[in-house]
Amino acid sequence: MPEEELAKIAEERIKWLEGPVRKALERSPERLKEFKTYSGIPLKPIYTPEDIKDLDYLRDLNFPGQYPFTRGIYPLMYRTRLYTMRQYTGFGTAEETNARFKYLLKHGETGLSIAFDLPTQMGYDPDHPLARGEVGKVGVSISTLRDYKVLYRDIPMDKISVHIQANANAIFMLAMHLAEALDRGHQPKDLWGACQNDVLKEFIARGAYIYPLEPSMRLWGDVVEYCVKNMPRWQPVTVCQFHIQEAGANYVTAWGLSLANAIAYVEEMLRRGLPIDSFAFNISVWNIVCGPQLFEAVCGIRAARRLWARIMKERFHAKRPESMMMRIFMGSGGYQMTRAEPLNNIVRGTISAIAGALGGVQAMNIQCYDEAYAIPTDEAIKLALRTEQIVAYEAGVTEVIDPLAGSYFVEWLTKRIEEELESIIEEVDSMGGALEAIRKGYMQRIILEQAYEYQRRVDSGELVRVGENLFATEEQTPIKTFEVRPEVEEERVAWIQEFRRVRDNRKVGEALEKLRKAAETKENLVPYVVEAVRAEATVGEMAEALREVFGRAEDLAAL
Amino acid sequence: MIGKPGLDGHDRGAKVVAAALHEAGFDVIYTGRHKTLEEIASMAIKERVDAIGLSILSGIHMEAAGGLIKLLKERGYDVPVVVGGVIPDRDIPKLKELGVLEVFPVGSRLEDIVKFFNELAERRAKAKPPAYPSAPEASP
Repeated sequence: MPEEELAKIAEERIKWLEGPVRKALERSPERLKEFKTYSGIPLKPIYTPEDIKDLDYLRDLNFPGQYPFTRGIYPLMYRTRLYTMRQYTGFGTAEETNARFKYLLKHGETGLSIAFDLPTQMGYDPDHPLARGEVGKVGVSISTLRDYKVLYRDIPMDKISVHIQANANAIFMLAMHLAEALDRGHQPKDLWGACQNDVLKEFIARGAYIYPLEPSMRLWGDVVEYCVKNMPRWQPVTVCQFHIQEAGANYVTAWGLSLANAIAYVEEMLRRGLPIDSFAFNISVWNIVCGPQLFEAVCGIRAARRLWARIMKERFHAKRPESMMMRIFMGSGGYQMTRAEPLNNIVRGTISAIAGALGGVQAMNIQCYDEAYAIPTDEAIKLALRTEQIVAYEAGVTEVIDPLAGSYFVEWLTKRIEEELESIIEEVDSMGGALEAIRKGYMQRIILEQAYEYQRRVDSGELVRVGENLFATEEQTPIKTFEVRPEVEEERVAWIQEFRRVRDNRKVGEALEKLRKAAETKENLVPYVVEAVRAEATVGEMAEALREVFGRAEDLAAL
Repeated sequence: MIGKPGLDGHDRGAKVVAAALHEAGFDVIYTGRHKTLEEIASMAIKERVDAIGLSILSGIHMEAAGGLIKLLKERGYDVPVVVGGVIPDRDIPKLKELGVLEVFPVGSRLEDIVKFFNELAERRAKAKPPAYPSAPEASP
C-alpha cells in the first residue's frame, strides 16, 4: 500500500479514536482492562492496513504448496483430499481395541491412532509388579507379536494409515508393525503411517521415558534412520507441541519449545551423516493442540508452517520443497475439556475442529466430551468423529484454501506469533540447544511456571471456562462413563504367563542376547528388535534387555 | 507430600498443587514420577509428613489409594490421604470408604485445596496429644 494511503488511514484512525471511540468509552468502559490471547499476546480493538504494512504477498504468503507454505502445503488442499480423521483409540485387550477400530472405520474414520496402556508404554509386561492396576487402563495392552496380530485383524496395513502413539517404546511397536506386515507379505516401503517417537517431550512434559536422555536419543535416531532408509511412506517421529501445552505451557510457548526439539532432531540426523534432503520430509509432522482460541490457533499454525520452512531452507540449507513442508496432526486438547457440564466440551471440540480446518491441518483427533472422566465411551468417540465430519462436509470451511488470509488481524497475529517463536528458539540456541536446555531444566521450568499461571488465571476467573468458573451451578450433569472390564488385568497376566511357557524360549533367549550385544555397539537396533519380536520376545523382555545396557531414566522434571 | 504413584507421567496437577501449597506457606515435598506405593509410604515416614496427596489420572486411584492407606496403617503411620486427578463421580464415595479424607477431581480450585489443608493443619494443631506417634524407622 502506498505511503500516502497509509498516512491517510493513520489520520482517520486518530480521528476515529478521538471521536466515536472516546464517546463510546464515556458511555461505558470496555468489559476488560486488557484484552489478550490465551498465550498472553495483547490485542487492540481493531487492526488495519497499518499493522501489516510490511507484508509482502509473494515472500510471506505465496500460494498453497509454494514456499514458505503459509497458506498450506498442498496446491489444492482439502479440494483434493480432506484431513484424515484419526481418533486416539485403545483400551483393554487387543480384541476389544480391534473391535473399536472397526466401529470407528465403519462410521467413516479414515486413519487409525493407537493408544497403548502405561505398562506397554513403559516397557513392562502385564505380570510385572509395576504394571499392577494399570493393565489395559489408558490404552491397549500389547506385549507380543500375537497381540499385535489381533489388534490389526482384518485391517489393511497398506491402505489405512496409522499413528502408533509410542515414544520411549517406539522401537518395539514399530518392530511389531514391521513384523506383522512382513508376515502379511508387505514390504516395508508399502507401510503408511507414523510413530510418535518424540522422546524429548517425554522428558519435559509427559513423563513416559524409559532410558536416560542419551540412549533415548540413540533409540530415537535408530528408528528414524531405519525408517528413512526403508520406509519412505512412514513418519518415524511426530514432533509434539501437544503434550507441552497439556503439561502447562501456553499455546505459543509450546510451539516454540517443540520447534526447538525438532531442531535438535534434525541436528542428530545430520550428525549421523544423513544429508538434510534425505530425511527432512519424514520428520516434519507435528502433533498439536489446536486451541483453545480460534484465531490464535489458526495464526500459530500459519506462523509455525512459515517459520519451519525458513528454518529448513536458511538454517539447514534444504533444497527439496518437501523438506520444508510442515504437516500437522491436531488434537483439540484434553486440558480445555471441563469436568463441569461435560456436554459443553462438544462445543469446545467443534471450535478446535473449525480452527484446524481454517488452518489447513492434515489430520484431526477431537478429544471426547467425557475426557475429564475416563477414556471415551463408544458414543463419545463417535460424536468426536462426527464433529470432524460435520466440519469437513457441512460447515463450508473446506472449499476455499486458507480463507482467513489477508485479514489485517490474522496476518498481524501470524507475524507476531512467528516473532515469539523465533525468540524462544534463539533462547534455546543460546543455551546450547534443546538437549542442554532439558538437562538444565530450562524447558521444564517454563512449563511449570506457565501451568501455575494458567491455574491462577482460571481460579481468578480471568481465563473463562464456562460452566466451571463462570455461570457455574451446583447442578450435576451425570453422563455415562466408560469402564475397562476389571477382569482384563487378570486375563492378561494369565495369558502372558502361559505364552512364555509354550513358546520356544531358547530362540527368545538368543534373540534377546543378540539385542543386548548390539546395544553395546553403535549398530542400528531396529533389525535386532524385529528379530526378537519374531522370535516371540515380549515388550517387557526387550525393554529389560536394553535397560541392562542403558540404565533407567531419572525424573528430570522434579521440582 | 504430593505423591505420583504408578507409571503415569502427567504431573502438571501434582506440581501446580505443590507450588500453590508452597506459596501458602506449607513445606511441600514432591516425590517425582513413577513411584511405587512402597516408595511413597517409606518417603512419607522418613520425612514424617503430616498429610499425603496422591495425583492420579490413569484410572488406578482405587488400587493406589487403598494400597497406600493399608501400607501406612500396617506401619502405624496413620496420616490423612487425599486424592486428586481424573476421578469418576461414582468412585468418590468409594475412595472415602477406603479412608481417603477428601477428593479433588480435575476442575478443583487451588484456593479450595489450600483452604482444606489450612483447616486440616488447624485441626491438627488443636488436637492433643499430638495426632501422630513418633515415626517408626523407614524401611530401606
